[in-house]
Amino acid sequence: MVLQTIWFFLWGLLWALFFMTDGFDFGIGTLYPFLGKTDQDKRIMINSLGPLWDGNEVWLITAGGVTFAAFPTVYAVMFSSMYSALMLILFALILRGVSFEFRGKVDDPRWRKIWDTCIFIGSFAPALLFGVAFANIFKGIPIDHNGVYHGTLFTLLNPYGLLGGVLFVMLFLVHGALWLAIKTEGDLHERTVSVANKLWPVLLGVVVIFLIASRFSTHLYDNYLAHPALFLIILITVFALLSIKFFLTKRAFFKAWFASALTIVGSTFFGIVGLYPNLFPSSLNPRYSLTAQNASSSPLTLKIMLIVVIIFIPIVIGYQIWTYNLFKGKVTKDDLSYDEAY
Amino acid sequence: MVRHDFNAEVRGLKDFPKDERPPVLLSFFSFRTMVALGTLFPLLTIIGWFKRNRLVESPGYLKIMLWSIPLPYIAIELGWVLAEVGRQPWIVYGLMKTSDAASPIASSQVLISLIAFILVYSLLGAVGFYLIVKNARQGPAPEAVPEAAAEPAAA
Repeated sequence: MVLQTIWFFLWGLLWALFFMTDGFDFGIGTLYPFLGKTDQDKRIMINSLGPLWDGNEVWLITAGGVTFAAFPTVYAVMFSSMYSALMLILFALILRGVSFEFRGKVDDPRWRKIWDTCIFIGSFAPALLFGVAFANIFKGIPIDHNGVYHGTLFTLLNPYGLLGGVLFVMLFLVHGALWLAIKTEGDLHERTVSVANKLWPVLLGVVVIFLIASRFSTHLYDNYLAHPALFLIILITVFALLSIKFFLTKRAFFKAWFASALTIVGSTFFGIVGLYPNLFPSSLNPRYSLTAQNASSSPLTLKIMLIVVIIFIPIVIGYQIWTYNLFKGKVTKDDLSYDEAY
Repeated sequence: MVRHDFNAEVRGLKDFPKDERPPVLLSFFSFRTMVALGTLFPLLTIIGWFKRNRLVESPGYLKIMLWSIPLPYIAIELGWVLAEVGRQPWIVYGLMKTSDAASPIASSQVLISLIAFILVYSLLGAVGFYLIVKNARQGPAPEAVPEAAAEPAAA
């Protein structure tokens, strides 16, 4: 049915938008202990995403909400089978969110150290775990005909799952470094650019390994081989990945960041398109897989929600662009003197 | 009124089979405490309105207000307790029992996450409380002194 297919790709798009936006905060949070030498560096790093990170996490809520409303069976099975992993993500995100707020409230190095650690863990852990979770979805999850999961948290930490985790961490690190390069100046800026230059070849290597490993660990390429035109998605993604380096060398940081955003969206869609029509494939038996057809809500629900989404998603995108525009420009030492600064 | 019809029969608790009754004691006290608090708040507000011009001279009233800060939170929590406990054994009233809605996951996982929630929320609650007390102790920021503008800049 057409509605189910539309919702399948909307589901993929919302996850892709979440990775594209919150991805750079996860990256900056992970780079934080390495690039933030002084308290001022750290505050500039936090303030570079201060007005944006919580808006970015709106996409996580919409992606989760869409999974719940459009594919309730997937929501139920996903949250049960990945219970521990998703709980870890949740706690990491809680700690990260409060750390930004709490850190600046007391002027004591020990106090700040605690929240610095939480910012790092709260950024690195979700980046890794989202990658692990999605790589496992690409690969297939051991679920039976009732959607009951036969495995533990450690089942998810298989080599391909971990490779997916590393891929996400690398994507977000590059994405974060580029955002920080846009937002900073002086010494921190130069160190950030140098880190971005060092991270890029690693990302390239991980992407190549991931594309090859996907051939052996997943059935993602079946759709591509059946419809060779789809290989365009991989080509565009690889092209975007190469343009990051091109723009980085020319010190066109915004363009490089944009190319990195496209790389993240493209990487997500590489998996989503390969999965179709599966949302949550079973590794035990393909007949147990949850698909856009057997796991969706009623056509009426999908239709009503489609109207809602067509109205509200552009509004959300609109106000987010407005926010980004409002807070464009570099974060400087002077910006830190505002009472509202983190 | 419950059924949006004045003539409808209101069924008492005893009309329901025993295994479809919620824990009564908890629902009973959470509802009544919530309503009592809900009556107290407008009363305090009305008293405050009469005293509005001499609040500083009413230390007793100010003390009551200070100690009332936790009460709205308690009322909110009690409302939740009533809604969640009072609905049992249903998770979706009349459609699905709570026991049928439980996920097929090991109870150890649920126990660990429950303990983690209690720990993290207690920790964050304690930190939040510490910061609020610290800020309250500092008192309000000194008001801008109007005379200062008139004086020559003494930088």
